[in-house]
Amino acid sequence: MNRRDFIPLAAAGLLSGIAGFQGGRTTPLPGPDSAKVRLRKAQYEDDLTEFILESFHEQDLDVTGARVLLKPYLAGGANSTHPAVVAAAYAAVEELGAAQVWIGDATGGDALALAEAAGYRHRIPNFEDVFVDLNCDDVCPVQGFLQGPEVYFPDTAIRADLVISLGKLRTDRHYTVGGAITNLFGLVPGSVYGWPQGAHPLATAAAASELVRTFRRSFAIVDGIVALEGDGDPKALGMLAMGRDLVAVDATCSRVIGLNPKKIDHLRLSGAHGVLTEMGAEQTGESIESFRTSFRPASV
Amino acid sequence: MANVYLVNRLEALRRSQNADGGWAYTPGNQNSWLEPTVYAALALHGSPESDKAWELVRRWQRPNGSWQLAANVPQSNWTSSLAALLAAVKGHQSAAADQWLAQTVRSGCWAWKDESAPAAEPTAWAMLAMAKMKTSDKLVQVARTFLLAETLTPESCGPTLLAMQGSPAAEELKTVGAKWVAETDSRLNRARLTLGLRVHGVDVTEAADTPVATNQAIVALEALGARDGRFAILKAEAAA
Repeated sequence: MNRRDFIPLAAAGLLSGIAGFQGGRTTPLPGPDSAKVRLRKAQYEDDLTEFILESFHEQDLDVTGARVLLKPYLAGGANSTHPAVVAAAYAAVEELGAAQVWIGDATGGDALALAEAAGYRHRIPNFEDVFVDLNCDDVCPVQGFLQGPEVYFPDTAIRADLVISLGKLRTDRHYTVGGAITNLFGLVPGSVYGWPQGAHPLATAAAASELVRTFRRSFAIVDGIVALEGDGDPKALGMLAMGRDLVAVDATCSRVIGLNPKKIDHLRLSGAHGVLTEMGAEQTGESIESFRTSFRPASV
Repeated sequence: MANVYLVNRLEALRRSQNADGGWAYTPGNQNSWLEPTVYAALALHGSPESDKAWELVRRWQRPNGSWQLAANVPQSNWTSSLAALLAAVKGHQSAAADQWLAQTVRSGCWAWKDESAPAAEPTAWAMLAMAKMKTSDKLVQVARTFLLAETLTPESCGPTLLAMQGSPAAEELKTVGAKWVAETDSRLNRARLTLGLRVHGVDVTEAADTPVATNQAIVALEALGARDGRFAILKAEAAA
């Protein structure tokens, strides 16, 4: 099925996808049977929108009428999620009839400046209207986070029917590997907890697992086209990893770069909210072996 | 001749003041936040809007001397230092605030939030507040040592310039700040750097046609640090 075939189907609501995005209804966590991880060979010059739509279709993801927050990884310039990936995800959810699409992040004191430095303004239509500096958002409390007192998150993130985590595949000094899950730390508002997100009291492996639980209406698109190894050195991998189960996607990415996800704290803990095992995840598209490599770790 | 750059920002602030006297980060958002409210109250110092904002900030002070950080967030963080600074500028000494600042210092520095690691920016704002409050001079001296040992960044340089008034290190900071203010891509950093430089008497170019930002904290900082802005109230020797 190509994109032309797929869009009318989606628009007609004929896909048996995740029901209930409208109105913020909570959908069940993806169970082991639905932990599909699609690996796709890709370059930034490709039609990435087509690739993302393929994955949405394969994973029965219907965003018609939904409010969608696209959460890129912003780390300054080329270390951020590539603008081609962000623009493609934006185009894909727009084409499928999302009611509202935001691109938002709370990284650093000035997320807008980071997004501009990453080149998003030139690739995203009406960027100024679409981008939300989540540090400037109102916040609302979430109870029971880490079984502690209330924790505040941006209204936009809480109101979104779907958060698409546009992570960057990279090695990380605190979490060993960075991907869709660690990217969710950028939803923690600096206006409440300060900066950088990696240094505040919520920056723990257990909190990462809680973020997966809190933002369970999520989808992962991990930019491994040019990944980052060591302390941020680019490494061309030519891979997009996509799926509804953030744990399964990040565990797969870990295997690709030669790491055992069961030995990575935040992934092991997040296993309570997704599929950590290779056997439990359904691999589609390319195989792990077709991308397998080893990454230099980040310095501690 | 009116400073269009400044007038545009002050008008934007007046238009976006919430009914409770505070400002949200983003116009149209429901809740006022301490950070943009303090910056705006400083930028509009001497006006009825500033006085109304100060009344709100006074109500937000908690029994332990800190301030709640938004209308719907009863917790506190580093922005309590900003509120203490505003209190001093308004001529209202708060013994409770002074006590809170003294209690939250950790090895000579302050953190973004209670449980966080110490950082340069919250330390710099706390130092400025204490300098304006004319209390705990010893703490300020210790904190200077911390700031001088910290790696300077475009984010921390502006507040550090404010905190280092009267220090021999200020000359070097001015040189670095003047370089970064011309280079930074961040309007927030530029606004803070400009403010820090202005307090040290360094002129900074401002383009009259620069659009007013959406972020009210940036708008207020740009107004405060504008050529004809109220930045002088942050000078360490300035009277209330």
